[in-house]
Parts: sequence; C-alpha cells; structure tokens
Amino acid sequence: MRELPNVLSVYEKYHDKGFSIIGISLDQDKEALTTFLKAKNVTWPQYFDGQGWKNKLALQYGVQSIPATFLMDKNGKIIARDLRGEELDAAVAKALDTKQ
Amino acid sequence: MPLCRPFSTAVFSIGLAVAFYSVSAVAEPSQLTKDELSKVVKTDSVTVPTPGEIFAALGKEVKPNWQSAYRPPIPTTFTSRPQLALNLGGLIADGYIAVEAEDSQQVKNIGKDIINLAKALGVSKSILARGSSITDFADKSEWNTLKEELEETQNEVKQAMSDEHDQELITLVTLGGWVRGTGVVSSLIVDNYTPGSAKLIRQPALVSFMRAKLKELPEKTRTGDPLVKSLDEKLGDIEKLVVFPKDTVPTLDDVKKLRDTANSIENEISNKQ
Amino acid sequence: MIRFSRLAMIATLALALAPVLPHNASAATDDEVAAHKIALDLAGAFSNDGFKLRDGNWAGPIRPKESIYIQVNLYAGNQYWFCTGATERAKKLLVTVYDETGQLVQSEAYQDGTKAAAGYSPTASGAYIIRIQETEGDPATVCLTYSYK
Repeated sequence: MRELPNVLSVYEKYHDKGFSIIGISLDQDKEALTTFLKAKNVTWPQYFDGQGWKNKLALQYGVQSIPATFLMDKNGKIIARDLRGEELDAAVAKALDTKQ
Repeated sequence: MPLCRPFSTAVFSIGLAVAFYSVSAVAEPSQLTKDELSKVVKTDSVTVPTPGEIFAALGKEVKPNWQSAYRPPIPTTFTSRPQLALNLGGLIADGYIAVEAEDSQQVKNIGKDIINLAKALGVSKSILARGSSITDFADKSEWNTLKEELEETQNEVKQAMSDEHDQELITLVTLGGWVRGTGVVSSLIVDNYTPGSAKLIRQPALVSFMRAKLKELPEKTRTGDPLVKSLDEKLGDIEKLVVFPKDTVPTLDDVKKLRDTANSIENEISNKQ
Repeated sequence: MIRFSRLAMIATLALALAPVLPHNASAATDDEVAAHKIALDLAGAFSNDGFKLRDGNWAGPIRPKESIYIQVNLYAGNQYWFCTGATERAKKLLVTVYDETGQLVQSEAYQDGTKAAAGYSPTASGAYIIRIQETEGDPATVCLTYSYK
C-alpha cells in the first residue's frame, strides 16, 4: 500500500493511452475494502471473492505474499512482476510504446 | 465500486497491471502505544542476531577480504566454564568467516576446535555428528549448506546447555559470538569504509539487552569470574559507540574505536588465564 | 529431519521429568514443539529463494485478540521473513513489523490459517518489533522463527 500513490499516479498518466489495472483483493471483509477504496479514491475495477489466500486468482498465479503485481502486455503475456517506484512508470511507458 | 468478472474472461487492453493486495494487512494501527511497547519480549534466541546475519549484510555493502579476518588458533583447554562458553560462541563466528572465505581447510580446522570446546563443556554428544557433516560439506564446498550447519550447531549446543539447565552458558555463547562478529565486521569496515557499511554498526538496543542478560547471571559468575566482570564494563564502552540516530553516519574513527574495543574484549576472552 | 526428531525427544523427556524439574526449567512443551514444527514448515518454503533459517526461536502462549511483541535486531540490506506457526486451536494469525519507535513499517504479508509470515527489508539497522496476533480462534501456542538473506 506504500506503493498506492505511485500506482495512482501511473494510472492517471497512462489510463487514457490504454493502461488498465485490475485489483485482486485477498480481504475477507468487503465493507472494510469498500471503505478503503473510497477513501483512497481508487477507481479501477476490483475482484473480490472473500476467500482470502484461497482466492482463485491468487492460487492460479501462485501468489504467496502480497503486495504482488503483474504487468502484462497486449497479448496477455506477463512482462514484469512486483515493479516499484519509477520502474513501474518506465515499464508501462515501454509497454504502451509511449515517450515519458 | 465496480466489481468485474473473473479475470480469465477479461479482455486485455494495451497494457494491464494486476495487483494482489489486502487492506486488512495494512489496517493495523500505525503506532504502538507505550503500554504495548512495555510488553516487548527480548530473548537471546531471536533478539540477538547471528554472525551469519551481519556478515550477509556486510557482504552486500563491500567485498571484504574474509581471510584478513582470520585469527591464530585459540587455546581449547580453558578451565573456566564461562570462558569456554564465550570462546565457543567466538569459534562459531570464526566458522562463518571461513565459510564466507570459501576456505574448506579453515572450516574443518574450526570445526575440530568447536568439537573440542564442546567436549570440555560436556555438550559434545549432540554435535559430534555435526562435526562430521561440517567436514563433509567443507570437502564438497557446499557453502550455503555449511552456513545452515553452523546455525544448527549453535542451536544444538544451546539446546544441550538448556537440557543441562546451564542457562548462563547460553547467554555467554551468544555474547561470545556477538563480540567476535562485531570485532570482525568493524575491522572489515575500516578496511572498506563506506557510509553504508559504517551504518551497519548501529545496534542501539542490542548492547543494552546483553548487559541486562549479564546482570541476570548468578552472582558467583557475575562477580566471581574476573572475565565476566570485565566484560560488562567493556560492553558499556561499546554501547557508546553503537548507539546513534538512524541517519547518522559513523566516521572512520568511530568504526576504528569500535574495532579496537571489540578486539580487546575478544583478546581477553581467548587469553588462557 | 534431525531437527524435528530431536525436538520431539526433548519434549517427551521434559514431560516425563516434569514433576521433579525446577519451575524455571526451559524444556519445550509438546505444544511449543508442534508450533515450532509448523513455523519451520513455513520457513522451509523461503529457503528455496535462498533464505537461511537462523538459529533460535521463540514460543509461548497466545490468546485470541491479544498480541505478542518480540524484539529483533536487523541489518540494513538484508531481507527477512518472520515465520510463525500455531497449534490448531488458533484459526488465524497475523504478523506485522514495527520499527524501534513502535511505528508500523511496510512489510509483505502471508497468511494461511495457523501459519503467517511477514517479509521485510530494512533500510536502517537496529531494533524492530515483530507483532504476532491471533485474529481468530481459541487460546493456543505460537512459535516465531526467522530467515534472512
């Protein structure tokens, strides 16, 4: 969540150019999640199944610790994982083939 | 708040990030209260770092010449049990140094000395098998496994001491390892000074914890054993050198003072009385 | 593994001698041994990533909604995983990390019933506090161990 301001900033910068985010919440308390997302002004789509670590996508992607992020190109191929800070901006820009 | 369908049917845009997270994991109070802080447990089994940990951190900052940290073989025929325990801890630290130097022969030599001291302390049965493993892994140059073997050796020695209700020896093994580790690290930092490496000497709570443990030793050991008595005073000198604010960078002179103080304690520990 | 069988042997001996041991004897109880085993199982998963398990652990009782706070001393540049395991009466654990002033630091989280872990890479050397909470369940025994690289 320390990365959230950075992610918000990258989303704002590149969303109109075709960059999207899907958040997969491993929480089990939907109300707490909703409150948090509203407070932080997170507008991208979220997936929530209330299953915690047994979340089917977490299992599918072998997620064993969080936060965990996957950046995918237009073909759905994972091109990077767990990017932080400026690396995220640079990788998204490259994926979109957009000058920074 | 939009909730989308399962990801497998999503259409990808040009760039897509998927982020797994949990808000409950970050909904913890951001600051512990005074009452909570007063309940913090300290125990040498997890509160005191092992030599392997500080050596791992140092190795990321600089490229130390580990062989320069070797010392001549120490006596293994001490008559004082506290002195035996302190030196056993120091020898385990020497084992880590030899592993970092990837020196099979030195590892085997140290392994033999560890067994000799453990025999003198009456806790060798549990680690005789470790001694052969250490030799085998040293011959095969299995350095990562050797680091684990050294951790296990230390663990088993302390467990054996615990079985014998020799709690005071456990404290002294830990202390001996820490003193030797501190002396080595400060020497290597002096040889390879960088601000990042110098900041590694910061250990504000650790020395006060160890002084508190020394004070818990039975009186006959604490005041009756001249080495243990002298240790407490010298740890006070070390405490002044390793307690400083997070952003402070110790100077080369500060690190030299730490090196000299730790080495003088180590010489006293390994001097046959 | 040698480690587990030795711990089991020690636990059995401790129980057999319990009536005659002094009150401050420190032999591990069966529950502490069991919790330690679970913590070690979890720590083992990180060894594939090069993490080395350090010597030593802390084990003791935990109650629901209560926390245990344990001090550790960490070095900047290292990465750590703090692994906890609890006996089955504890349904859920949570591990978080605080700095020496008691300020929460950002750590990676792992939870799976009676196992939980926190991953942390300090940028400053010094004392840190590991907080273990039983967020769901009944009174149980918990064990903390940690790995580094």
